[in-house]
Amino acid sequence: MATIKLRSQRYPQYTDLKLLISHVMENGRNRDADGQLITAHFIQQLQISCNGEPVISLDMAGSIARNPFFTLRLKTTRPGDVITVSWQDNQLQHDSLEHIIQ
Amino acid sequence: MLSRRRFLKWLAALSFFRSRVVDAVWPRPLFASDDFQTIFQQLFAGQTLTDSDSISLQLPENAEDGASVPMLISSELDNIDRLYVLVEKNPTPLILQAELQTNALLYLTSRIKMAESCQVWVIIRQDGQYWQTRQWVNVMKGGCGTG
Repeated sequence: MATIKLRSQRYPQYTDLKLLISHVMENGRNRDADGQLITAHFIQQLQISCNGEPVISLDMAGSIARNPFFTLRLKTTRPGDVITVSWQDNQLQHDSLEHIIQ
Repeated sequence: MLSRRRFLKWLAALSFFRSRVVDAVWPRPLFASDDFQTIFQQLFAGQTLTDSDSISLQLPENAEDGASVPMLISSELDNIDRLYVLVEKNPTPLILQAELQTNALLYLTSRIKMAESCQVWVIIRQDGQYWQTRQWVNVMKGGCGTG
């Protein structure tokens, strides 16, 4: 299942990336309805690359809200540039998405 | 019989060995449950942190729900290569660290979790210099699970 949605918008001075990831982001300190601890399950690393070159790398833990939403900004892009977004979580699940700048 | 859960775990492990999607190693000690000062020292021991008006940190004065607090960090400074966000009273105080390459500008929005009312710190590194700003947020509904 695709977990990543990305929209890009080019402006004269910069390009905005709006990124939405479906993920529970459980920090391991919440309890379910029966009072049992919910296992920690959160994205640890998120990487954004442009044409194969890393641009932004984020390390995080369970303190980012459920279904993380990020806006990020690049200096320059050209139409046709390929943005790659990848995440990996503490249970070693991962996903990635390729997006072409319009 | 292989349960669905075990199968998925096995599948995840297998694909992990085949292709790691990120290059760097996640810095486990920095995201440990520890008090703010300890984590702060681990990150910035020996560095001089200077207050800066050039970093804009926007957070609500009163956050209704600590499970999702909108945050905007931006700066016009050039050559920023590191960003750290810490929530002073969260069980794991470091919530985010970022490495920015030259094609990235410092402009980040996110939604963060806050366990209780406290200071949020943003520290950046620019040309080897560390700059900081902070803001107090009142959290209406926190609790042990939110941070």
